[in-house]
Amino acid sequence: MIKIKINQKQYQVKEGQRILAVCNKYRIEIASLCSHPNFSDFEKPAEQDRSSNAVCRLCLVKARKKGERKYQLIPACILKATAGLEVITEDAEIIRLRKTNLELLFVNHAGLCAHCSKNMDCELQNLAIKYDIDEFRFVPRLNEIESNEELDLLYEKMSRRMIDTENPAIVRDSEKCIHCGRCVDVCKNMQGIEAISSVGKGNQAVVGTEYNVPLECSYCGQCTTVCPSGALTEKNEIGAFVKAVNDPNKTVIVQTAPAIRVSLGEEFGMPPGAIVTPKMVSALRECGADLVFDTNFGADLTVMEESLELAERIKKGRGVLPLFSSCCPAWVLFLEQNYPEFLSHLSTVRSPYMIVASLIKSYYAKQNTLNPKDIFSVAIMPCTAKKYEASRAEFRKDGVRDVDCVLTTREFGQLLRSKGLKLAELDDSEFDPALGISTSAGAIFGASGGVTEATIRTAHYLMTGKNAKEIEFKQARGSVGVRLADFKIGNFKLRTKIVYGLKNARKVLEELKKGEHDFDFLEVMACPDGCIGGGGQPIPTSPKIRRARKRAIYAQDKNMSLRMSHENTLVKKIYDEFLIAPGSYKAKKYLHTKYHRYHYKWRK
Amino acid sequence: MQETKIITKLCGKIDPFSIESYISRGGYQQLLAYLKNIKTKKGRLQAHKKIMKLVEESGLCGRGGAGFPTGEKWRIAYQKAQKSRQPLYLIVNGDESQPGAFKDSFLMKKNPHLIIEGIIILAYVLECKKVFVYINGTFKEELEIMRQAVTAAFEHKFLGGKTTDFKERIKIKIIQGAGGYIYGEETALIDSLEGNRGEPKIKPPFPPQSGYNNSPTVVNNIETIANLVPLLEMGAKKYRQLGKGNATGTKLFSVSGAVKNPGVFEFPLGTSLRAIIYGICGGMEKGKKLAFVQVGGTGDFLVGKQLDYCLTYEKGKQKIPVGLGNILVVDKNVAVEDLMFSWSQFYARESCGQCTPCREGTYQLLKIAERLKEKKLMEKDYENMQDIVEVLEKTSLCPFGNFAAQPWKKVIKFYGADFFDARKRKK
Repeated sequence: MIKIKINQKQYQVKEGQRILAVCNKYRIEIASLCSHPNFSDFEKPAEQDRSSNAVCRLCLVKARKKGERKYQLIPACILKATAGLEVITEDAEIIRLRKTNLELLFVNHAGLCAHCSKNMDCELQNLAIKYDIDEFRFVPRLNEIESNEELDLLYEKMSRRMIDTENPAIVRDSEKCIHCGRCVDVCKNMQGIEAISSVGKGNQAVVGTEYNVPLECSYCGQCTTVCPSGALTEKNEIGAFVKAVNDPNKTVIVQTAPAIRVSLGEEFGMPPGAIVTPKMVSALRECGADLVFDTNFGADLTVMEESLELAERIKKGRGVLPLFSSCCPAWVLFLEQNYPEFLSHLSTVRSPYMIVASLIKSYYAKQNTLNPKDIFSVAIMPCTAKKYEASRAEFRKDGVRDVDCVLTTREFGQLLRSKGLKLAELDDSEFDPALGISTSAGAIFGASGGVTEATIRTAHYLMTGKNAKEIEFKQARGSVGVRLADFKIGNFKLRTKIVYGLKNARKVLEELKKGEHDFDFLEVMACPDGCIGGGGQPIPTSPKIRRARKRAIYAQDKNMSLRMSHENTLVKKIYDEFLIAPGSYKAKKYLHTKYHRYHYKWRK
Repeated sequence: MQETKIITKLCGKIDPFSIESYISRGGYQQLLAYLKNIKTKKGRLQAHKKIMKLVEESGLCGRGGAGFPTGEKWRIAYQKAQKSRQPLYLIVNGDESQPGAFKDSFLMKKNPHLIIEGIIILAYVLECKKVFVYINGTFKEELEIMRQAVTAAFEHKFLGGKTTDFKERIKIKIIQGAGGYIYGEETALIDSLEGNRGEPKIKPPFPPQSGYNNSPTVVNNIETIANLVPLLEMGAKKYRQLGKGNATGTKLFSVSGAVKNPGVFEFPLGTSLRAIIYGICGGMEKGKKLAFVQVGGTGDFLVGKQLDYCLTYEKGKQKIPVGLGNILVVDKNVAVEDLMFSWSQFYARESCGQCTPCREGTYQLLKIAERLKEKKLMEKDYENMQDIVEVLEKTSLCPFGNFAAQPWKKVIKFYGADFFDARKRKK
């Protein structure tokens, strides 16, 4: 620990810590648009261990090292703490420089606030208000259309402006982009996909896709969680939901994911990790949902099927090992796009919400004599890739989609706010029991390692005939991007690898390609720390916020009485009444799916 | 005043496409002498020490504009490579694209083998196996000449496996640049070589510590490399006698503008502008009067007495930072608004678009220059320009932003704020 001075006050900090991080910790406000707390997770070369590329030039501070006389201007995000460092975070000159830079940024952005989905919740807007900027001081760089030729280009979508609504999950509006590079960073360094990057140079520079084609990636949505303006947002489907609610012929059935009940509160100012399950259910009923089911129940079924698949592959040698989990649609799509040779490793089980959706339009519709066409199935998810998954051809029967509409946590919050509902003031309510009883094995799906833990709990039962003595498998929990966890099931040692982030996944797959593997089961979640850090989760997000959400997930697990999927009474009932048994032909039909190589539509 | 021809000694006297004509005039002798010395490991170490000492003593500094001591750069990279056991890369920067600079192009066209010989010697000295020569993408002729020169050197066994008793082979790769001014900046150049979008990076780490593929990398200008062979020929003492003070050796100056005889000329550092313009360049063109002279692309507008200041890498009073050595002579017929517009256009086009002040600021300056040219200035423009120049100078990520601001600063310094008031200026 060393001593430094910030604004004449002494602070004790670690040597080499970035001043921006120090200031964030002690709540000294510094304007910053290109750095993001998430970036500290990335693996970067040792020389680049900073939280940003220092391109927004807003977090400038004046610093003087020990023994120096003059203060120098330097961005706080790259300035390292050294003993005796003196920092001034704000004075007239710094404010003037920041203001000019903000005005330069804002000029390409102005004029669309009122109907932007980020309105009132936008980092750029907040800074603009704080620094009292003149929105129209300069000439816009990108909005100008100077000649008919340029207009023609605009029609051909080759222009510098791009509003991409063609892809199923993410809306990209380059007019609102301020070129901070966060999305580029997250796409390259966290996910290793590089779907978006800087295009053009000088006054033509924009963030975009190659040849300006629609976005075609794994749709994990991490870019939307870090975007400081409204340039990257999820595809808004609130309209479809509201339309269905107002349609008297439609039965609106909603299901909610495990990870949103610990994060929805943040949309209403509650601390991260507040568990709001009962209030969330009643909020959905207020919004006009006829029935509210629980995706955790689907997770329980996933566990039943997946643990059987794992046990069969290990014991009977059916199929290849290692087995890959298939709960994360971004991961599945990533595999289909980049490693189709590994598709046989992928578990054929559907992701939990697709299982519930499939049962809604088959089992539940049959029992209640409903026409599947009259059911409007909605899923509230922490994820943008689920929007893509819902549009897949595999999840369609006779032209009817299994899931009609996917809302992210953020959209759900937006919907509630637009209806004037305050989450904290609502009464408690419970899930509808028809497909709403779940165990805590389903609840922990929300965190990275949860799928593995839940599967092991049931696989232990399947392989040895009895439950494990200690069902909390702590070795599956953790916050490292790639971790190995070994489990003892009877005499058998099961080796698993738990991964989050697609860049980490790529590394593991490359090793696998070379024939080096030391595990039988691979769980991959595309987002940091699993679904609790998902692409549709409330903004802001940071490692600290994710930790709070994770704690809540595991606290939920501890407090439940039923903690293993095979003990779920509803699961047993459904198997008896409808699906016969795990792995039966009916289970295969309703709970499993197929994968195929992905052919790029737009990307070259 | 006559030119001091050290590097350009053979320029124009030999055929750039024929290695024989270079050899017949004493070419590749330094390389052969060096190769003789390094037959054993001990001899090699001695030769390495000797050359490093020679270069450091000579005071040679980088000719790419910044003027960093060359010997020091080599030493840092060499020591880092030895310590970390990483390969060392040598990159020769021929991405010359600043307006008014054409000396590297001149060298490559006239005497490519001088560069190749320097590269090979340096590669042996630094124990570097892979050399990249990064040449501006629009230099078609230079690219062809350099490619043929490398092939010829290979055929004459100056390159490749059988050159020495050591197993190592030096590979020289001629790279056609991606076409952009910013790739001349070393970190952006390395990015471009790695196949990425070229964007200047935050320093430190400097390339000698961590550059291409995170290995120690020496990036040198073509002219710096061309200095090596003449330096070996004449020795450090004689070399130091050229130049003034700590700025030693000669420098190539590209003179353009309203002089009778523009072109590339070689003079010792410390020479005055007057000696060049009114000496070898033959003074102003007929009927044209000198308005001002600008050096290095970003320097002050110089007139009168200032022409007698010396051109050098040292800082101080009565000294002109020489930069790349491009000298622009502007006569009174030139409309300064046009000049400002063309500069602004260049900077707005060539910014990499990474950081806010440069991407947006250069564009705004272009728009102001456009209005200045069309005499449609707006009320706020002067104030806006000042603010933009300030953020460019103080907050941009790499020195390029600062360069973009300089013409505006200098024009205000030279003409005063009235320059922006069209009515006042006309009087």
